[in-house]
Amino acid sequence: MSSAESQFLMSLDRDKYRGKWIAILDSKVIAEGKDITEAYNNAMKETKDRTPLFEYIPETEEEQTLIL
Amino acid sequence: MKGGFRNSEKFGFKYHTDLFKNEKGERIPIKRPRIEVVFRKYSEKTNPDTNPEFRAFALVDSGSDVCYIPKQIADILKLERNEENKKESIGVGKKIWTYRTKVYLEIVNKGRRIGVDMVEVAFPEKDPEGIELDINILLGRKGLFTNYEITFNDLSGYMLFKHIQKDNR
Repeated sequence: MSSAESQFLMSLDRDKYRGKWIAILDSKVIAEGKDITEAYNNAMKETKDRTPLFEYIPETEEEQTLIL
Repeated sequence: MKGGFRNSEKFGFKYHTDLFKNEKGERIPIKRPRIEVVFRKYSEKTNPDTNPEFRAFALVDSGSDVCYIPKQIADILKLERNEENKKESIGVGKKIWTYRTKVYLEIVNKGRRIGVDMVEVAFPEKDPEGIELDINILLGRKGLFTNYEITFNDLSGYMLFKHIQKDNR
């Protein structure tokens, strides 16, 4: 079993957050932003003592092959 | 999430699943070896002002020499830019200038944190456009693979991490 935030991410309706970074704590998106910095700064306004899980929600839902 | 555990001997991860639409418009799962990690500048307890931390999924990438984080995460962690440690790096055929420093890495397994080590990390001078290195975090060989023997089973979508004892490094 993974963290509560990771499990919540699996069930998240991603369409609302396309192209954005989000911050998840427990079973809630507590902040979002157009980039990492904005999402982090918004999240820090919501929580100081716990570290949320940050994740980028891709702009498109189309299948993309990752080659790094 | 529980904290404070260090270097558990052996543990596994299921690949992280992302949902995409195929050409028929059907939602299909794509499984990738991404794991939840936490970075902070020092190994000591986090402090939002002096030792902030960043928690996210990172790709376990045996093709990367070192760990990699986007510039914005380096800024959040307040990592120093030392010109002496600036090196040219190659990402998907594109050369970028990166700074090298060390950060403390924890991996999150079954909701508990496992301290890995201070690991070498590269971050770009400027976030490169078009090659996804502004959004991806990579866990490279130096740091992760020097601390864990990692076995990938792509058929079952599972990774096994076995801690390498210092005597065997």
